[in-house]
Amino acid sequence: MAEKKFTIVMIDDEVELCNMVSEFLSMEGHNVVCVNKPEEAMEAVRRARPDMVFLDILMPKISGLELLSQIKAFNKEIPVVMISALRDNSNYQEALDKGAADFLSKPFPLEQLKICILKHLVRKE
Amino acid sequence: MNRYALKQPKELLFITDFLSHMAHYMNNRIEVISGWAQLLLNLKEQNEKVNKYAGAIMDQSQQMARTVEAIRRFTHLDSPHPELTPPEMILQEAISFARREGWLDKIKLIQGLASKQSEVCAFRKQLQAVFVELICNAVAAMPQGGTLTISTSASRDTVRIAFADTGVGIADADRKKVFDPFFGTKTGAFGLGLFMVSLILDAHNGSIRVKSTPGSGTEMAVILPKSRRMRKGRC
Repeated sequence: MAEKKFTIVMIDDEVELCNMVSEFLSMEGHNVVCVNKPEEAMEAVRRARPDMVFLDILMPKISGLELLSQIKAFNKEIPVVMISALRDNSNYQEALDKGAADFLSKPFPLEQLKICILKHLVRKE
Repeated sequence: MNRYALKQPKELLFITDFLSHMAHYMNNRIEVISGWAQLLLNLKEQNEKVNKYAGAIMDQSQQMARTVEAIRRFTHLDSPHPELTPPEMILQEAISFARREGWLDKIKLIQGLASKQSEVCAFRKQLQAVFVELICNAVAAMPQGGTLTISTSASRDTVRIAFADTGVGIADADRKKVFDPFFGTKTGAFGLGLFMVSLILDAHNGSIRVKSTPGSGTEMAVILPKSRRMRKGRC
């Protein structure tokens, strides 16, 4: 169980992946909001006011990179960790340029999520 | 028009695009499967059988992830235009990649590069993927370690890039099949690597020659036509 409870928004059109990550982070004691429809992501972010966002890059209708810009325009302090199922250096560079805090490539061990939280939330406090 | 002018074959782009989408889809599935297995292993109420089964799921997921990673190396090969380049330069990029991946940790690498470099007309990313695949195969043939000799040489019209290992070699019966799709002798391999190599070399008006002695090693030699410089380094 994590020492501090954070609110985390997970945005990924893969429903099962969201469920699994949500289960893991909930077991760690965090409050997780899953969003599977990218067009509903900003509304969820505004409502949840998360401490951190995990954001898939390749999604239908709105790409993760576009959502990243919108989240940063809403609140540039929220660390956004980009998740990709395809390692692509151009995405990596663009995500960093747009203010992404970190980058995870699927498949990643779940411990990586904990490391991101430790790095960008716990250590920053 | 340069007689060596290259075109991106539609079939090759279709295959790389297909592989790219498949790798994306598979990585999503692997993440979910291995994630649930990790959650089982993290449970406080430990159960020996559950741990054993979850561990087996994890092992297979990791094997699948390695296969997808090997496939992924043949995606994003759509270089916008061919470039005139010494193959040695692309070769060094491939060797650097292999070093970063740790493939050469147990391997003695000998490089015998031609003193006078020739240029070939190449889609850079594609040729790099060919060299990476040939290094990967050579290393896989030497699980206990060995020597990989990479050499380049040139004749009047062609450049030769050879990868010779001291590994297990290829059985005579298999030698003609190694470029067939889905043919593989490596455990867990998908059998697309050398098929993609032959497609890419075909698109470069090149070829590949195999010499192998079972138990002693294999040499894979890439032959590419030399090219002459056109405007702005393009060909």
